[in-house]
Formats: sequence, structure tokens, C-alpha cells
Amino acid sequence: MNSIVELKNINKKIRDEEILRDINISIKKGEFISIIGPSGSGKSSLLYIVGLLDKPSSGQVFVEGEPIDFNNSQKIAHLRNSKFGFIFQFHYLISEFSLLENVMVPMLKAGKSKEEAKERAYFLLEKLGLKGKEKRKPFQISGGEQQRVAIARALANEPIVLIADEPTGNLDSKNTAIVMEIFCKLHLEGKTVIMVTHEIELTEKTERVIKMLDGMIIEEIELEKKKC
Amino acid sequence: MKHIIFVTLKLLFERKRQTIVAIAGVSIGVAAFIAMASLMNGFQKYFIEQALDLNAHITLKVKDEADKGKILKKVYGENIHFQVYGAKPKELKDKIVDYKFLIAKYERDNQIIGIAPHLTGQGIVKYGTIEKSASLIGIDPALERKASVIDKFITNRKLDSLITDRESIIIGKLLARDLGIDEVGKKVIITTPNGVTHLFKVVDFFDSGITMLDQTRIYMNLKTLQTILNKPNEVNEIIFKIKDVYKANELAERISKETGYYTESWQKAFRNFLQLFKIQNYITYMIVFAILIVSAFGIFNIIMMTVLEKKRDIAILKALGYENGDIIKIFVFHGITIGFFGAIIGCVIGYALQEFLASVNVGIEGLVRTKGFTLDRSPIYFIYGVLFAFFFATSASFYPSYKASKLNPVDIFRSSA
Repeated sequence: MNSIVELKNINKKIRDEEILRDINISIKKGEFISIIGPSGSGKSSLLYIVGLLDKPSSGQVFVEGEPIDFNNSQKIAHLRNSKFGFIFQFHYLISEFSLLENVMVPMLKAGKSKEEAKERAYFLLEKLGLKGKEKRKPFQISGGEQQRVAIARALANEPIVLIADEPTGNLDSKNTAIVMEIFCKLHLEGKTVIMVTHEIELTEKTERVIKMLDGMIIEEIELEKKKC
Repeated sequence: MKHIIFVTLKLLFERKRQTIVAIAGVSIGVAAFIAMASLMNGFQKYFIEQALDLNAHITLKVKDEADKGKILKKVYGENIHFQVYGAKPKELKDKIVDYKFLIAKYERDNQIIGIAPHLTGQGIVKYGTIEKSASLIGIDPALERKASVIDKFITNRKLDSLITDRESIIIGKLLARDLGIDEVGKKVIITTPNGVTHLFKVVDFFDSGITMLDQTRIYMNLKTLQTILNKPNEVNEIIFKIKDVYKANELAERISKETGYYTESWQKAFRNFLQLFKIQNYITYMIVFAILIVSAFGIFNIIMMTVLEKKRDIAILKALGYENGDIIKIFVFHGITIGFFGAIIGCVIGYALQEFLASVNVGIEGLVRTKGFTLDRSPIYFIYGVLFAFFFATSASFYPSYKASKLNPVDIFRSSA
């Protein structure tokens, strides 16, 4: 399998503190990866670098085999828009926009027409069980639903990699199960999913678990049996 | 670009209160500018128009250039230092000797529309027991018509009465009021400085709207005034009406060089007022700029507040692939949109204010007399208002936009995790 994203000798320093140390990962197409570790272990920092949101202090990132020049902010922004989909612990939906408009935002940036973007946003929201609620504002729906809208937004431009930073951290068990089911479905459809989590039981659904401590990868576990 | 417009308009329309406050600030600034500029310039233009109509574009006269050391210089040469004490005023040679020749000469000049002689003097006008001092102006009505728009200011259009009845006068409306004359046909006595008294009939009123003129002027036939002032065949002023009023200065200079007489353009005659208007304009524009700057700060604050409140949304937009340039454009477009709506609404309010001011019926009696505000309703003030609004609104949005573009999404996500 080809690497979609590859990190080589990545180090990240913030002021004098070393956040990430000598990280090497290769993420293959269609993989479902979970990253676990205690708070401050560097999970989110790693995820931000994988998703090209942050720049490493040293080392090289490759996306689809191409080395990334972090000084080319225009290209980085284009890659974020077209290749990556982000889901955060807090949904980060724009409160002034309707659910439909929130999903449309990345598509409009990608150059889709308003009609095209609207059509796909309706499709994604329906797929994620939010049919009939498209015109509502984020504060008019539940936390689980908000997270599903965030997933729809992440899927808007058909990214090759879905990056989820503790996507269930703010959800109850029922909604956690729904979100995990969505991730499983997406994985089965061939999407690459990288998820940071605190909840060990959620890692059981993934194919590979990366354990982190003090900014280093201390263990990588390939799970034998797919539970998705 | 549509993603920029989409996000900006959503942010603007969903944050109605802030948007309305910002637009109101710009609207007030634009409306105040339009109303104040048209009011001030309207007054100034009215005054200049009236003054131009009444006071000739160029006046040729004999200037008192009493040189107290003339004789001393003649005897001892030009390079002497001297001081003359107790010099006695002499009778001035206050006449233009060759005026008929000058009129004939300049009538042929294609830059000059009309030319007319004046004899001016002082007198005391008496009606009943009331006496007032007056400026007596002897005119040739036929020539005067060509060189000024005097007819416009004669209440009953009876200028020709000065030709048919040499004992008639046209008296300033305010002077008539001060004397207690409220209708034509009344007889007044005019006494000149040389002691001549003469009875005249008031045949019409002169109503220019400029207080100082209406309070002092009396027009009569040139020949009559020459007789009562004992200055036969003399004039002391020639007035010129020219094609391009803004060339009055250079033309006056040319005439002065050619004739040797002193000439005064309307700009020179009214330089004190023009200077005053200049200062008045500075003050007006400073006030309006202050209003616009305050509204610019309003826009700045509102956009800055939006940037601070929307940090998380800016971060997520960046995560979704929006570039720094997109973020700048969103907030600059924010400012431009506020400026656009502010300018449109400001123009509407400005127009309404103009309508209101034009309809106000108050008697104003000061430098000029009008029955209401005289407005200059030129569309240029609307154009300036719109340009100012755009300029201030756009400038005010630049810094907050720049700050927004510099936000690091990772810092925001970390701080809100």
C-alpha cells in the first residue's frame, strides 16, 4: 500500500520545550489509525503536523509522496482544503451559519458553485442523519448532531484523509457510538482516518494504534482483527 | 471570490446589531457632510453670485495714492529718509477724465460683455424727520443693464424711470424701511456734502439680499447726480462685466496697465469675504472629517471585536483551507460593505436633510438676507460623501483584517481545548 502521508524525523519545539521528538510515521491509504497517550504527550501536535496545520521545527512531511514546503502557505492551504478533513473535540461550527452553510464553506473555497455546494451539503447531512435540520443553527441541535455536522463539513471536499482530534471527547456514550459507527463506515468506504483519543476502548475499532509519551512514539500496535 | 462574499455577508447579516451601529456611524458622517457642505457652499455661492451681479466683475477707479513725500523726493531725490508731520488732506482728483473714450475702447474687447460709468458720492437722505446717510450712485440705465444685472434686484422693474424722470431715485429696501417708506411715490430730500439739497421721488426699491448694500444704496440718473454733486460730465468709476469671471484678476491687471487707472477685480474687492469663506470651509471640513474619523473608529472597533470574537471561526476557516489573503479579504470586504451601505443610507439621509433645510422658512438677516437656507445641491457632495465613506471604512478595516490573517489556528485550538 502507498503512503498517503509520511512523517520523517519530525521534531517540534515551542519555545524551549520539545513537543515532538524524532517522529517517523507512514500512513497508508484506507488505514484507520488511532493515536493515544496521556495529556501533553504530543498527540494533537502530531495530528496538526499531519494535517499541515502546523509546521515542524525539523524533519520532512510528505503528502502523496510529495515533500511539503511549509513556507508555501498558499499550497498548504490548498492541500488542507482538498486533501484533509478536520474534526475537533469541540465541533467548531460557525454559530451564525446554518448547518447547511457550515458544510458549504469548504466547498465554496474549493471553487464549487453555490448550487453544487448546496446539493452536496444536503446529501452529506442526509447521509449523517440530519435530514430536515439543514436550515437550523448549530445551537438548535444536540452535541452529537453538532459533531455529525462537523463530520459532514470535513467530508465536503471528499478528502483523502480524515483527521479527528478527540472527536468523541465531548459526547455521551450513545453519541460516541454513533460517531464511531460513522468513522467505521467511512473507513470501509476507503477513507483514511486518523483519530486522537483518550478512550482506549475506541482504539479497538482501528487497525493501528500509535502510543505516545513525552512527544515520542513509544509503541505502534497493528490490530489483527478488524472490528469495524 | 464567492466564498469571501458568502462568509462576509453571512457574518454581517447575522450580526445585525453591530452591523447596524457601524452603518449608522458612516451614514451620519456622510449625511452630515452632504448637509453641511451644501449649506456652507450654498451660502457662499449665493453671496458671491449676488455680489458679482451687483458689484461688477472689474471696477476701474481713481485711487488715492497720496504720497506725502512726493515734493521732498522731487527736490532731494528718491533715496532719502524722511518723515512728514501734520500733512493736510488735499482734495482728490477723483475723476476719470476720458471715460467716454475708455467705454468706446473696451466695448470692442471680446472678453468684455458690458461696460458702464458710475458717479458715486455720499449724501444724507431725509424723509419726514428721519435722516439717514446713503451712498449715491449715478448710473446710465441703458449701459448699466449691459454691465450688471441690476434689473434683477429692482422690485418693480422701473429702472427706465431714471431716464424718463430725472428727479427720480431707486432706494435700497432696508434704507427705505429705516426711513419709514413702504411704497413708491414718496418724496425724499437728499443733501450732498457740498450743501445742495434736492427733492426726489422714490420710484422703485432696490432689493439685493445683501444687507450692507440694501441699507445704504440710492440709484439715480448719472446726469442728475453730476448736477447735484457739482461734477459736470464726471464719473469716478467704470464697471466691467466680463465673459469669464475667473479671469477677472488678469483682465483687471491688463486694463490697469493700458489705462493707467487703478482696477479692482471682484476677487480683490471681496478678498476679506473670500478669505473668511476659506476659513469657514476649513472649519466645516474639519468637523465633518472628525465625524467621519469617529465613525471610522467605530468600524475599526466593530471589526476588531468581530475578529476577537471570531478567533475560533477564523482558525476553523484556515483549517478548512482558507488562506491568509482570504481572511484579509473577508474583513476588508466587511469594511467595504459597511462603507457601501453607510454611503447609500447617508446619501438618502443627506438628501432628506437638504429637502428639510430647503423647506425651512426662516427670515435670515445678516451678511445676506434670505427667506430660508440657500443650499448648493450639487451632486459632487454626494460623490465626495460616498468616496469618503469608502475610504474611511476600508482603511478602518485593514488593521483588524491583517491581525485576523496572522492568527495561528493551532494556538486557537490549543487554547480552547
